[in-house]
Amino acid sequence: MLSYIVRRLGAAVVVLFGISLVTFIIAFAVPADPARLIVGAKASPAIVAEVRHQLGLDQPLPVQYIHYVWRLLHGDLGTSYVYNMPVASLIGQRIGGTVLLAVACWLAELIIGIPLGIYTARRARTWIDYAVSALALVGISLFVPWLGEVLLYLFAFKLPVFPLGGTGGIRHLILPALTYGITGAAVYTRLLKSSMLEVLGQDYVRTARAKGASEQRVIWRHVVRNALIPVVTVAGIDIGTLLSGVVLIEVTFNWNGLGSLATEAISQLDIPVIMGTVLFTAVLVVLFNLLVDILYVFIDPRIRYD
Amino acid sequence: MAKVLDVRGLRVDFRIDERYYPAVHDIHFHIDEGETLGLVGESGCGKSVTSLAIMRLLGPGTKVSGEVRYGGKNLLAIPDAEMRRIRGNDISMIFQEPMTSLNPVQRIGTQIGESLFLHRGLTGRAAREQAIQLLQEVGIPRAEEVVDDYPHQLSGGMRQRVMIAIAMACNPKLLIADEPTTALDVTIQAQILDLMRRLSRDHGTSILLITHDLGVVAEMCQRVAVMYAGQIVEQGPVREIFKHPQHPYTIGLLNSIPRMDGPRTRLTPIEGNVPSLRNMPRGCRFAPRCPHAMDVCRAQDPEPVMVEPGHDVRCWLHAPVKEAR
Repeated sequence: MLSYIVRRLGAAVVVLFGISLVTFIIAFAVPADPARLIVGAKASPAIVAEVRHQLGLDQPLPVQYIHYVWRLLHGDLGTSYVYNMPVASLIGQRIGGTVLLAVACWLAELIIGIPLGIYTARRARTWIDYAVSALALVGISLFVPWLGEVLLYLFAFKLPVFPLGGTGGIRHLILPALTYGITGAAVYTRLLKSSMLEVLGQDYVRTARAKGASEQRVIWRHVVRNALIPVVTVAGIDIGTLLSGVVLIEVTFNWNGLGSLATEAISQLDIPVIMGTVLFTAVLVVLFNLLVDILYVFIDPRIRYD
Repeated sequence: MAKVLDVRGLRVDFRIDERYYPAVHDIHFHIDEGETLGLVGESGCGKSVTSLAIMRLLGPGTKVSGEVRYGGKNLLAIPDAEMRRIRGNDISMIFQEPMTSLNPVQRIGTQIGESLFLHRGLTGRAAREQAIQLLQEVGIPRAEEVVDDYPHQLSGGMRQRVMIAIAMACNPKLLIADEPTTALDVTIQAQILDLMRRLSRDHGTSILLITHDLGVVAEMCQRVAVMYAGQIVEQGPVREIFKHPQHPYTIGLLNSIPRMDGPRTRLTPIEGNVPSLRNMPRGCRFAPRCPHAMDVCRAQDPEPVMVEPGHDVRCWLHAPVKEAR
């Protein structure tokens, strides 16, 4: 198990290098000059050249990349051109808000999606199943900012129960989480439903019934646990992605998180911040994938990593 | 001798494209206390459907009618909750596929313990000790360790022993074994059959043994019922049926397997195929494959006729003359 984790982490390092290289090249392929963006359109060419030199942008690209990686290996993500602050502390400032929002969105998806999945699986091919499937299709098709605006209009403006956006506590979280939950739950509902229908046809479910177990007991003790295995995979990857910033939600609800930091950085060509947020995202996704694979051992005893 | 189970006029219909077709039709048989009854026939003849109908384990899209008498009640008419108290307690069942019949994410002890909890209210240490004892009784070595194993850690034979331990946990009156050895190696088959015979003798458990293997029937059963296309075509004592088979299908079955006794002859297969559910022939269902088929066979379904006490045949050849015209 331990050697497996070490191997996976080793592979992760390779992945991260690849991602950093690709991001770096794309950032510099953009036909715009970060120095010009910083000093403004009216500054003289001499000042632009001076800033370019200060930022090291006048050096060849491979040299810049090697410098970047070298500093990265020393734990230095660089300094934001725009904020003139270390990228690490910028991420640090935003990470708390993002974790809060991501977990809330994730829980909303699971709380809506999983019970609906179990419910529709038990009533497969009835009108209730068709109705929920249709609703799920509507949910999955809704555009997050649109639904967010509608909910804000209804429950923050017309009926002022919740605040009109902004970063904050539980009251601030409910509408964004609901928005994300409604659009994201369908994935879990469908996945769990098809997985449960498959498990319901398994021989060991018949064995449980032949023992005299009630339908409730069969579902909860034998079917759900086996059916949840694929759901765990998706949920793990999902939270990894969510933690790197729920861009659309953050923008719609004016929430200060990593997603809004990254979008701002892209529009301002703040390369160190772009690199930092992308790498941070990659690390999270890789880590949560690994976490899911480790979690499997506890859910499915057939899986061993020796 | 007292009957443990008495099946009368059992019929199962399957729904295919909004229409119902009889998969099992007009089934009559009984099982005496401590007896092993063999139910034989080709794949798809309705053996498993019959056993699942008795247990009321058939899924949606099926219609079951007739009577299954057990302990003075018709199992097909009692409420679900009462049926659950009978399943796994009075009547239990083991299946053909030991590899997939156990829940992969539960420990062996938990799975045996579930029966003990449901019908005996045992939990915790009491259930665990009982589970170990049951594992020992079905001949599993290192039972104290196996109780904490998961199914994938055991071989097919061991898993079938575990299934038998689960089935025997509450000392049932009747064990329904649906092709219990079909998926196992020949040597393991013999061990499992030995085990079932011993448990049946020690606990007085009756067995309904479903198989397509006449060798297994000869070894295990006192009586046998031969099924063809959803009907029992002949039933009676095993010796009688093996020595003097009356139905052309039974004769065909016995001629299609090699025998140790008697002269060595070529094996003769039964020509043709089992009819499909949607294209059941009118009249006797075996008529299209029967070497002795007469006009009446193709026109009208025969009723079971007693040829000897306890030996019934569903065939026009044996019908009283006035009915056969």
